This record gives sequence, structure tokens and C-alpha cells, in this order.
Amino acid sequence: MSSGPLYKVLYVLVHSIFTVYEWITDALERIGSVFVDFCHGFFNIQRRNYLKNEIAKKNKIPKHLTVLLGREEPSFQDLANIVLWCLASRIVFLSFYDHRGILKKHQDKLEKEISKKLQHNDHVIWHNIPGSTYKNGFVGRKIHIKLLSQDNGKTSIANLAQRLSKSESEISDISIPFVDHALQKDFEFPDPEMGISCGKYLSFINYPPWQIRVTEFLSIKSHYRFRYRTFLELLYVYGRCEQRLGK
Amino acid sequence: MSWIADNSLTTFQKFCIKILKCGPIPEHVAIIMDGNRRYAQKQHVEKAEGHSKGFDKLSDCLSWCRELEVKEVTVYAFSIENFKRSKEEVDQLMQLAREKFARLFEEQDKLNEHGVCIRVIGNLALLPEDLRKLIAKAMLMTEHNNKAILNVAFSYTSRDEITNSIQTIVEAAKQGKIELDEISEELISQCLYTKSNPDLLVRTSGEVRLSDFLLWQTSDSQIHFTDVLWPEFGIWHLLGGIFKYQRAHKQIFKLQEEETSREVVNENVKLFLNELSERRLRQLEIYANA
Repeated sequence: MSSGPLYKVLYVLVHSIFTVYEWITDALERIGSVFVDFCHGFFNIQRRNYLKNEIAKKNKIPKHLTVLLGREEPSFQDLANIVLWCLASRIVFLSFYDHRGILKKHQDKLEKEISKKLQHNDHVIWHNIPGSTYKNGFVGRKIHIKLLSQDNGKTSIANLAQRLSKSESEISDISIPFVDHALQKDFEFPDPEMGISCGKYLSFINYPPWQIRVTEFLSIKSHYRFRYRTFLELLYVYGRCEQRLGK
Repeated sequence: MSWIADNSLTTFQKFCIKILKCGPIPEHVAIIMDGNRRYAQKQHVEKAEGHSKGFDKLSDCLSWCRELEVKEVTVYAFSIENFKRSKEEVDQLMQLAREKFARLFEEQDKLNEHGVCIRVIGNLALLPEDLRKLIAKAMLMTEHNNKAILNVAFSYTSRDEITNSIQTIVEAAKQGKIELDEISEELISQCLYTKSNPDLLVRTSGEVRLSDFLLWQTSDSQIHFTDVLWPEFGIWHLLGGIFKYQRAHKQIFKLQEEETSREVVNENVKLFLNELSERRLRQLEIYANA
């Protein structure tokens, strides 16, 4: 923070110009999306079909999709939409992460929003209610949902270290697959292959660290008014990500 | 090319750096230097040439960071997973590492002058013995420098590091050095290889994943993915990343305030941590004298 006043003035100026620029592009985008909603544009539908086709062709759909709310307050309606789209895209595991645990507190609200939108053959299996068991033999589409907060991350690794200290297991038994297996039991879901992060800036905000080794993170500005078409665009981009796994 | 590159910035670039420095600058930047092989393919040269270009870019980037007064840089040079590549390529990479680490000793004066401390983080036990010796010697040589820190993640994965930290803690608990209720997130952090968390993580070449790099340490970092291939990474890409960091800084700052309730480390834990760093130092000396 040294330098003369000239630099400081320029610093403020550059950032102010950028703020105005962002403000204008955001406003244009909002107007644009209202316009598209209004005419339910022909191009929109065409693009949607194209994306659906391409995604089907690639046949690469994440097994577990995780949504990072970032610093946004949850919009239950928009989150419920994501559940529906995942059902439609055959994504089996869906998780929502907010570091403050607001969603966990208001799970009932989310459940209500979702149940309004479900078709009669759709099944949602919640992984947050302790003791709720996994039922087999559903007819129709099903999706597993888990709400995540900071407690599912570093805390669970520290708890594991505590448990191991009490147990009989040898130090040499503690290997990566061993830890992975133990954490998996807590986490229940497979590691997410794809993450959607909300907000202009990507930060994991204490997302469970062990699980995001190879997660592909894609950003959206906000999950408010998140559109089906945007969701498909993201799946399309995910389908094109190539993982080399070190090779 | 050497570790300490001479600064080749133009007047205009320096001018822009001075402007950016009026705002918050990340103290610790982590970089996943990806895209060397794609660059080689694009330029129709050998893979080894791409990797070598990648190293040159690292020393450029370090000189830019010095100008920006970024205190610590952590780079992902070689993952444990990379051992799976063809023997030819792994051998080439090990050879490049040998040359570069050997070169450090020639540049000892320069390193000391700039106060650069070089640390290699990773599972050194997996490396060829001669390379491990070089690395241990280099670390011991620059150990007391403290103006700038360069962490080179070599033979590293984050899961391996976290597992190592758990092992260390469980062992200490079983020996009665620490109590069960002293085992916490904070303690796991303290037993990792790194000493501070990056404020900004940059990954080049358009990939949007962490690939097992600093999973634990980046939990409140600003993440910046950029499409450019690492050998083509320029000062403007770095400044762009810093600019974005400044845009986001207000938010990050808020989050850190939420988390001020850090646990106080007690005497017992302090004792254990001191012993741990002593033990790691001794291990390095054993490697260096092997």
C-alpha cells in the first residue's frame, strides 16, 4: 500500500470503471433474459434441443452433482427446479452445500417446494434424516439428495482421526484407500464429478475437501432465476471435460 | 534458465503493478502449472521441451510475484499420479528436476540475496535417492531465508498429505503425546506440509478442477481458472488474476471475519508440533547425508 497519490487515484478509478461496466452488463443480461422469457423465444427451444441431443450423444452425465450456494441465501423454488432437471437428466445423486447450514435448518421448506413439482412416479430419497433407510423397488425415477454444510468436511476428518486414535488399528493401516473408505461411510455419496458454484467468484468456503479431488467446477452468476437452458449448457460443457488422472 | 530471473518488465507493466499494489495483494499464491504438453503439441516440439519452457515460465512468474510483493508461492510441479505416465516421460521429468535443483546450488548467493526459502512438499520417499538427496540439501541450504517462500509440490497429492497428517496425529495420540480432545481441524492443518494457506489459486490451460492439489488449504482461497497454457502465461494473465482477487476480496474478508473463533493451541500441542518439525528436519538431514 505504498506509492504516491496518483497510483491510489488510478486504482480507485480502474475499479470504479469496472464496477460500472459490470453493472451495465448485468442490467443488459437481466433485460435480455426477461425478453427471452417473454417471447419464450424460438431460439431458446432450438438451442435446448441441440444441447439435449449433444449431451445424449456424449453420454457423459455426472453421477453426483453438487451445488455450492456460495454466499447466496437459498431460493427454495430455484433449488427445487434443479432437482427436477436432475431427475430428467438421470443424475442420481444431488447435493447442496451452504457453509452456514441454512438449508439443513430449513429442509422442510425445500421438501415442500420439491413435492409441489414432482410427478407421481418420482421418488426423492433424503440422506439427511438420521435413521431414514434406503428403500428399494421403486417404479419410476429416483434421486438421492443430501444437504451439506461445513460439518461434513474438515470436521469429519478430525473426527476420523479421533476415532482412529481410540481404535486398535495400526498406523501402517492408515492409507489413502483406508481414509477414503472411512470418510465415504460418513459422506454416503460418491465423490462429486461436477460442481456448480453460485456467484461471480469461485471459492469453496470449507466445502468437504477430501471429496473434490477431481470435481469439475463450473460457475453461474447466481442460482436465482437459474434457467433450464443454462443447466443444459453446463452439462454440455461438463461432457466435454477430459480427465487424464495424472497421465 | 535460472531460478531467479531478471525482471524484464516494461515501464508500463511496472506502472500497472504500482496501481494494483494500492489495493489488497494476495500474500500467498498457489499455481497449477498445467498445459506444458499441450503447448509442446501445439508448437510441434518434444514434450521435454514443453516441460522445460514451463520451468522458464515459473522463474518469470516468480520475478513478477517479487515485483508484486507476493510473499509465498506454491506450485504443483509433479503429482504422485504423474508416476503413471510413460517411463520415458517420467525419466525426463526427473532429469529436469535434477538439473534444476542442482542449479540451485550455483545460485546460492542470488537466493540468499533475495532471501528465498525453497521448500519441497510431497512424499519424498517415493523419489529416486539421488534426487531426494539434492532436494533435501537445497531445502536445508535455504531454510533460514524468510523474505520469500517457494513451495514446490513434487511427488505430491493432497490426499497423501492429509493421510500423512492423520497418521502423525494418531501415532502421537497413541503414544500419549496429545490428548484425544486436542485432535481438531486446526491440528490437522498444522501437521500438513504447508505452513500457510493460499489466498489465490490459479490453474492454467482451461481445466476446472483441483486434481488433488491443496484440497485442504484452499478452502477459503479465491479460485481463478484461466484458459491460457502455462508456457504462454504472461504478466497480464497474472495481473488479471490479481484484479479479480481484488474484486472478490471484500467477500473473502467477510468470511474470514466469521471464522475468527480459532482455537487456542495449548502448551502440550505446541510441544508436539515443535517436536514434529524437529523430526521432519532430522529426516531431511538424513536424506541429505545419504
